[in-house]
Amino acid sequence: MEKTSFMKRLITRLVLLLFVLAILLPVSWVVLMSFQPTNDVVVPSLKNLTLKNYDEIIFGKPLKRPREIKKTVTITLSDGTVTTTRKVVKVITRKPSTFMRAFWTSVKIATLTVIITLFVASMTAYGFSRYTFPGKFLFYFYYMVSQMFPAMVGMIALYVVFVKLGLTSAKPFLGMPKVHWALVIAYTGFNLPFAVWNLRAFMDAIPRELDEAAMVDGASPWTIYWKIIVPLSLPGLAVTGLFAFMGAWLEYVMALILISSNTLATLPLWMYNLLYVGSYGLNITKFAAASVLVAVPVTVVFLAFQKYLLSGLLKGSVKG
Amino acid sequence: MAKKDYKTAYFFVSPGMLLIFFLSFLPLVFSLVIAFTNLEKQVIGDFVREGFKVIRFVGFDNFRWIIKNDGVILFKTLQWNIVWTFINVFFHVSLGITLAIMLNNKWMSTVEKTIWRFILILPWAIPAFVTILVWRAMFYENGFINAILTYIGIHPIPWMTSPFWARIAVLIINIWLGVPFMMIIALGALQSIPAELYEAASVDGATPWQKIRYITVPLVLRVMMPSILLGIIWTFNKFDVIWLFNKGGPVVSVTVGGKVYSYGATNLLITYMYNYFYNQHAWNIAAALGYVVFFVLLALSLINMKLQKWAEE
Repeated sequence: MEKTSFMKRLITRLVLLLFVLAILLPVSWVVLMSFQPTNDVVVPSLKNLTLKNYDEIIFGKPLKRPREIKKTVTITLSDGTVTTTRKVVKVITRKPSTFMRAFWTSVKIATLTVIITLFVASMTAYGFSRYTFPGKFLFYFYYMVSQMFPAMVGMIALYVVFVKLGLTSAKPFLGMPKVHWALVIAYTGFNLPFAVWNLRAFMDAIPRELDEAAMVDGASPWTIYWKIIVPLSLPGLAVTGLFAFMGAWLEYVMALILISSNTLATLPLWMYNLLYVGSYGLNITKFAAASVLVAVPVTVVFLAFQKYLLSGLLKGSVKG
Repeated sequence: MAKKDYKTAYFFVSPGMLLIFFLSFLPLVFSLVIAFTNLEKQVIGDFVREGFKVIRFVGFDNFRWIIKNDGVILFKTLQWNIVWTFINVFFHVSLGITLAIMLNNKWMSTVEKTIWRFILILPWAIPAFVTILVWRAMFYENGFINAILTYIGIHPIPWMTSPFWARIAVLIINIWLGVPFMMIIALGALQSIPAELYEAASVDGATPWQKIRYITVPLVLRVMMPSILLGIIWTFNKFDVIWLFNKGGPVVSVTVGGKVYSYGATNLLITYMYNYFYNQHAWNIAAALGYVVFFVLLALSLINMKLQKWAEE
């Protein structure tokens, strides 16, 4: 093996550095913008960095005049007379944080989607991995064809049905507005085919001898599924769950169609409105702070899981 | 051997299969039905109040309407859609392979490689929803990029209002987003090339450049083919970059046969269709367009499959 010349190494590193700069340009811009004190900044400076934007979107904007909440309290004096007075029970210094409301809405929707998707998909994938039955090929065929459809085609019909069923209303059902349930239902539908496909590949890799040994010991199919297959496919479940979570966490196309009120907004709608309503500079630093808050956790998890994510993705696309 | 206990099998697969049937398969069929009905803006109110009985079948009227009213726009949009897909996939694959070859060397330490790789896959790891909106904010006409251009003595560019520059902007964003995925695929492909090939080439006196040109690139491309096909489908239907950047705008007009047609310069078929659904509430037209997109895609994939087979022979 000949030695690589100094020049060649230098050029390689310089070219790589060029790419890295192009990648870091928007990333560093948005991080710096999130620490700027005023909205009229275009080129962020390193002076006067502040945490104000984060503080405001997480805890709410400070009110100009704090509002006092008073309550009528009945006091019994020592001589037995009863008087009532107004007493300050709480001082509100900030507006409620709309960011946090949207954040919890999205957490709820994404978590429910992941739980339902994983439970149903793991059962189905187990059936596909361990049994043969008439109609099995239909799913494979459907999966391949459905890949070709733009997701929006199905959304139109789902929306029409949701409108008819009254699932676009804000009325609560089981502690959550109906329209949020509609999103959970829609996202589960989007995620399921891939989740089944992906989990089946993981379960196929678990040796069948384990099931057979358990069967000999008298274990029922459910026990085999719940006590052997599910624990052994935990990495697969984690990856599939992550895909489902990311599919629901920042989904905005369906949410945009279904949700019109700001109080019901999910996280992506909240950010979208921040940037699309009003002109440049109106909310840019707040938007930057929200971007950082939303992107950092997902990015960290993604980087940690990237090897597995990729293997699942390729299994799904190459096979068949 | 897979077991043949149908009852147990159906017990396990039926919840998932039923959900997929109702939430994934049926909506696709129902959308096809909607494409043949009168479910447009004026009918929607009645539909909400009175239900399915107000819906009437109109045969191929919606498709005819699209060809007659929007034929020119559809053609222009499809044209840009193909250019968009070609330019994107070309840069994704070529830059991806270039980066992979540079990273796949023998002289760099593992730590250094990991650091480079870590930064290079960031555009893939950060949620695209966030990065596209960030790019949009940077491309504002009085935003960061124009401020930098002014600083180095170039005139500010109307990224949002000029059709040409808006197209350049969305291309820049999507190339930025798509390179890391192809780089990772290419890295995997590089590792599958046997070292003996290079040794044999060295014995025959091949230069490093010849090795890349005649061994690395053809072999890597062959391994990458399924991912490239996938990339073509994804890019063809890339909704988020176009919609989040400028909702398919700015509007341009073209005069054909004395009639003026206005359409969004960056619109792809998919955003064009969404516009009918979201802004104009023409659900029937949107559904019909959705199936047009599907058949275009199906045709492209079939052609691609034929080409691939032909290339292999």
